[in-house]
Amino acid sequence: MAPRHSGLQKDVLALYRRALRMVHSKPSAVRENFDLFVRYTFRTRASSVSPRDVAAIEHLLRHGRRQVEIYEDSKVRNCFVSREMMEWGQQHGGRTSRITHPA
Amino acid sequence: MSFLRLAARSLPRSGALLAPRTATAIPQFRGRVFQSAFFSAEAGLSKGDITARVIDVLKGFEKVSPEKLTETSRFSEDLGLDSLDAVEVVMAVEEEFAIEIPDEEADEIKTVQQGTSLRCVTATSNSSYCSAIEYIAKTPEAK
Repeated sequence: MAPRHSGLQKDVLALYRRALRMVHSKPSAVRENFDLFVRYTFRTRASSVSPRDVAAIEHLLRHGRRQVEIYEDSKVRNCFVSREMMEWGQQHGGRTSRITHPA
Repeated sequence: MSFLRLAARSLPRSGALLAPRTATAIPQFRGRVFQSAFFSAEAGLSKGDITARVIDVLKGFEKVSPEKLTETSRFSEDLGLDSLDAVEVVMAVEEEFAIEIPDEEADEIKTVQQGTSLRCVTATSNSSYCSAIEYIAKTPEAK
């Protein structure tokens, strides 16, 4: 059994979950952009700080929460995807297929 | 004599009162029985079915190698997923079964098996996917 997560880890995972929910709320045509943006941002920022640097992680969390709040607005219709993100996305594929069941 | 008349008058009235009550009580009771019967039929999402669907969801992830994937695989140890991936998996399972798993429970899911057993346990507003056990007991909105 993996060790339990700390409070800070839980906060990060909760933010990630919230960000992914935000992605699902976007129209399917642009969802891919948001998805890539969220995954790229989390991955690169997570590897940019040391797991022991609590102050830095807290800063990123605050920053991330504000950003997600802005993106959650339905008026945000699309999201910029840089070339870097696209390259990263090609190396770090997420889900390749989505199963669709008839409702 | 007057008290007799009173008694006679009260009898049919009480009978009239009783009759509709029983009349309405019976269909209500029947309705409930049928409802629960339909409901239990609908709720029967078999364990094998759930497992197959969860595994299908996991197959959709590029990081997961299909040959390692079994019912008992653990996300981090066997499948090489980190905690962020695990969140993605749980979200995908949520999407697949049209449910929403609360954060505390989602954090606890670390194996495929657990994912499926939670599936058995989770009741939703979308009653067609509901199956039994303890989660329902804990969830007042579960129907």
